[in-house]
Amino acid sequence: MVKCENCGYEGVKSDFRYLYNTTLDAETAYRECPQCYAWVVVNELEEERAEKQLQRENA
Amino acid sequence: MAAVETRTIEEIEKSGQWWWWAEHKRSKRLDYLRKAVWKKGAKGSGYQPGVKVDLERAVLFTEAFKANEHDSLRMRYAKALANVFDNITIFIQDHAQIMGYLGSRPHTIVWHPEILFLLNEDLYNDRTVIPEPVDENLKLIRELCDYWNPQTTGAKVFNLVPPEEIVKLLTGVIGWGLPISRIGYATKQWDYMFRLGLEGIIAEIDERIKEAEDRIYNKVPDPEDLPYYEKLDVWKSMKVVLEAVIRWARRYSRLAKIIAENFETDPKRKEELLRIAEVCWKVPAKPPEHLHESLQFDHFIQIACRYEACEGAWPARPDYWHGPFYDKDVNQDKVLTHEEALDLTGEFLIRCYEVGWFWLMLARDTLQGITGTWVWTIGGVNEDGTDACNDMTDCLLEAARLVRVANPTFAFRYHPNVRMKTLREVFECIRQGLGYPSMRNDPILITNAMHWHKHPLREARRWVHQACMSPCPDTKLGCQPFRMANATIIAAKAIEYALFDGYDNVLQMQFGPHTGDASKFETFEELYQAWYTQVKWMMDTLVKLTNGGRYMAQFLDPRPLLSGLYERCVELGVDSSHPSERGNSWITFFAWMETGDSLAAVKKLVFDEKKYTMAQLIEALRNNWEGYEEMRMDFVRAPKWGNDDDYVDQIHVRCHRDVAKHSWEIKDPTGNPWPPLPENIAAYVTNATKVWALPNGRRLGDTLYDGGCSPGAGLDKKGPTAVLRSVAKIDHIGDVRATLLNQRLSPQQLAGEKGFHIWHSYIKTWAELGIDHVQFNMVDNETLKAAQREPEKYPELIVRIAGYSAHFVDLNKKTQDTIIARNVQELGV
Repeated sequence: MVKCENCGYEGVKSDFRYLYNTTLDAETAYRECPQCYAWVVVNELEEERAEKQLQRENA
Repeated sequence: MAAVETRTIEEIEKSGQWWWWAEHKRSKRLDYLRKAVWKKGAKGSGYQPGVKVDLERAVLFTEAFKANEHDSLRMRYAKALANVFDNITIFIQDHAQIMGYLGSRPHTIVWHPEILFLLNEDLYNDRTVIPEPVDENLKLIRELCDYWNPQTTGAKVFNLVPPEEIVKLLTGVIGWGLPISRIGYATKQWDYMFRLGLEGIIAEIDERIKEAEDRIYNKVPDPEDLPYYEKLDVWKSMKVVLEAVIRWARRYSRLAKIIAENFETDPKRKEELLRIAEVCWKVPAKPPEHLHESLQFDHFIQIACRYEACEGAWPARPDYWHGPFYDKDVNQDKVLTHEEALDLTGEFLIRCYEVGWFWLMLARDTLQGITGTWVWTIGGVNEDGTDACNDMTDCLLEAARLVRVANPTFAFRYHPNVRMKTLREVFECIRQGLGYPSMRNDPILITNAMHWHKHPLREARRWVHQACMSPCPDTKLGCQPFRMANATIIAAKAIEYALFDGYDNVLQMQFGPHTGDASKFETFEELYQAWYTQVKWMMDTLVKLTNGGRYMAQFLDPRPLLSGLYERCVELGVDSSHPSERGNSWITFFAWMETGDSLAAVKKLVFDEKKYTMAQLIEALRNNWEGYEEMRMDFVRAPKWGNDDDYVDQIHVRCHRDVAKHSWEIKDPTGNPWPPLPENIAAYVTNATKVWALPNGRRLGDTLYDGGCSPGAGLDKKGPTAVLRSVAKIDHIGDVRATLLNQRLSPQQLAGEKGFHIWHSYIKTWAELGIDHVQFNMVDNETLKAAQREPEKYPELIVRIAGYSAHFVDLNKKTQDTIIARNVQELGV
């Protein structure tokens, strides 16, 4: 789960609108908090793996 | 600040804060003028605080335009412009020696309401630039908008193509704006102007007028005489406005004299003002004879042309044209010291830097930090092939380091016989973090100009940058009257359209032609041909409108002043947009290098290795890679341009070659081809939200590659030589009109004498490989990151974007990030 450090909003990665990354191969990217619009730095691969793992466990 | 003054040059060099060095080295006059200048470039996309729109130009122009409604459109424009020159408020800044200002106050930017209704509405809605009293001026702006909007050139151009194509053009995917001559920029024909002065040109026009009157008034005109009715109007409108320019210059002369004789108490300044009065009385009416006069002549003409139009670039070759005057005054007659020449030259740069007009937010965003791509050409060769570098070249480079303006910047025409003294000055500018000059490979570009537009050798050697990149001779038939600034495409969209059957996922409309369901493509060749169809369609769609706009401009949007400055136009009695020059069209390909990298990734992972299917790829892209991060990283890790890897490089070369081939199939109004010119200015950032996810691994929002042939930021993993080897696989004569390579070098590695030799070796290799362009940023990440954190401490830090330089703090964070992300290349010794 991604958490916004500015307002505390927590959600899955895709809840946070993708903004950009500085290089295509960078691990992290900027996303935007849906609640306060602050920029959040997200480790894309780690988050996705964690989310998929969670989905598998829930299934 | 006091602590900084105690640092030695070596300490400043180490810190990379060269602006402090400049502040202490330049003369008091230059220091005053540099600090007094108003920055007109946008910060991000908004104007700087305090900058206001100038309404005088708009009101005076409209007043006279309305008063002469029975004249031809051309003559109405001429009289409207003459009214501006005769009546706009003029002023003389303390310590200034070069006169001429675009606007009636130092902090103003002019507005051209006759050009584009979108621009007019942008102004009405931008309260930050409305001068006091705001309510009253808003009412005035509304009235002007209502008067002009239906008859702006933009409104007329809309009628040239079907409405559905206009919609596509307004998206910015095809065409950056509309083809309007008053948004175009022009190379000036200095040999004509400096030889005759405006009075001499008017005398030539008078002869033509007499000839026309003899043909149509003093006898029954024969059929071949009938075009002289129109020619007569062309010549008379030229004369109206050229005479007005002389009167405008002489208003400065009178003002300087009045101040000198009635108000100035400092005897030295009084003497200066009287000299200014003499200079402004003489030029541009008569040919210049001294450096002060030639610089003043040049500046008056450039400003006058910007009262006529929004010339968004500033083609110039100042060392070539002003060099003989420097040599005469400083070296031969010794009537001017080098320091005095340096003061004039520094001010010449500052006067250019302060020029600005109110411009569309879209354009401001794409040219963050500056008002136009004012790339001045220096160095190169003479018509006979000898080295053209002179003491004025060195003076310009030295002045640039002292005033450190982000605009104009220089591009240096490098050739094997360039004088070493000048090359060292070039290196010093780059080393001191200006980001310019960019380096241009002169022999390659001379041949390139001959190849594409058939310029004869001697004229091709006179080439000048039209904007950031394209070489065009400043000769009678070589001068391109204006570049249609709209002639751009976002080339990466062709890949998107090939993958989605012509559908635009961002704009959510069918955009390109149907080229089939890509999820069912079974071979790489099918994908490639779909892409080629899409890119050809983009080029054709653009060229249709641009050719129409160019041809029709002589009727819809005449430019009497610019026309009167071209020998060709005076001789033929035609408007500058009449297609009678040799031609120099090109299509700017924004976001071009994503093409080859995307195609190579699909070829490798889908068709060669079969790790993924086309259907899987389309699905991942449709989702903007969301939920497909591991797969995305596979596509990112596929072979990329800039690593001397033939797998991907040959695909790039094939794309270049096929596009070049098609460019011969679409002719411009002069009958010449439309070659591709890949580059990006800051469009690689602004277009990031217009290009959907691509197979090179980018997502919607990620910045595009920053150059024209630069590798993607951080994707060149094998060092500077591998980058050069990849880039050298492009034929820089036959594949492109020009292309842009960004490189970052380490300031620490290139310090001192050793640094120069390392850089020089690199440049020799670059030149021998036949690459036409390279430009450098030589500021380390530590400094850039510090400037992000504490911008107030780094107001003068300059960086190279892509085709222009800007103060780092005037860029938005995303653009700043992209510059930091570029790999710093360590050069081998």
